[in-house]
Amino acid sequence: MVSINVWRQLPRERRQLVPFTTSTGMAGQPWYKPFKVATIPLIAGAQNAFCLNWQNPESVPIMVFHVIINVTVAGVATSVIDLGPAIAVDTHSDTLIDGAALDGAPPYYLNSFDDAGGNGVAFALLNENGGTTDWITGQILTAAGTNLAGTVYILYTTMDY
Amino acid sequence: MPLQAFYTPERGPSGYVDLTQSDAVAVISTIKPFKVARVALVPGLANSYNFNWQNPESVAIMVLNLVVNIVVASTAGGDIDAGTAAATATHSDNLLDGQDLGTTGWLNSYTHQATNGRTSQPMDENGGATDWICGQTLLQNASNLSGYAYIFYMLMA
Repeated sequence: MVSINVWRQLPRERRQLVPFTTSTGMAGQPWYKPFKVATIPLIAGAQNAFCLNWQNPESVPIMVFHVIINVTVAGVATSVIDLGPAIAVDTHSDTLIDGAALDGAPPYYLNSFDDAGGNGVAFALLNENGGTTDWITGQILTAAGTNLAGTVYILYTTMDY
Repeated sequence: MPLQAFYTPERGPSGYVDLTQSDAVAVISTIKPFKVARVALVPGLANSYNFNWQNPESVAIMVLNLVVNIVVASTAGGDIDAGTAAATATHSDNLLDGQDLGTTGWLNSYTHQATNGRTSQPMDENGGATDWICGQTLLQNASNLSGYAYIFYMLMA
């Protein structure tokens, strides 16, 4: 049995480190774990430009379990977005959202479940900050997103257990 | 492109700071708990509404999952549509579309969205344009219907 310390989930003013053992905490025992949301503005750009580059800020791997895009100003007709985990900034990936339309009637929402397309899989595991695959990138494809505007919400949990 | 982000303790003095996109994002992650609203299903005739829920929050929310537990089912062949709406007792199917209400069990907006439903849906703040979720009994009566709708959401503020 390995003992570690974890933050006990109490109101902020009462938080404290308490003993936590593998036998009670790691063997299938649940504990309260809030998720995190990264809120990132979409960046306008030409065809093939990257409208999103987000690096995992955490020192541990994370599970991205939902990506939501609120498009408030659309791209040029026929423009689409690919989005997914990548090994570097400005690197194409489509394993979360694949070819979702950026030319809808705004405001509207895209998400990694309903707009996964052919290559998207809704969830993605990212390495820790500085690890091999620690970016999520979004690329404007097919046509320009000259005036594109909106917000990307990346919902994730840290995988520190 | 320079952006402005709210101050965080990691970034220095209070107020706004200019950041580039790639480093701005590293400081904007926010811890958010899920919230869950549980609403009892109401029995009724075909076309009646089996639940109506108004966003109680003063800010917009994102509904991340709508789960319905059918404990006592409708008459065989009954369906449920559920989704966001501008008012109580207003038809919508943008979360659950035409799902079986005639069998006990669980429905959710991830796997029972059918043609018109989507996994997640935004809602306006309490009193805003679209601040209701309505569930409607269709095709058959559900005179003894019972169960609950669970609305999982996060605040967008």
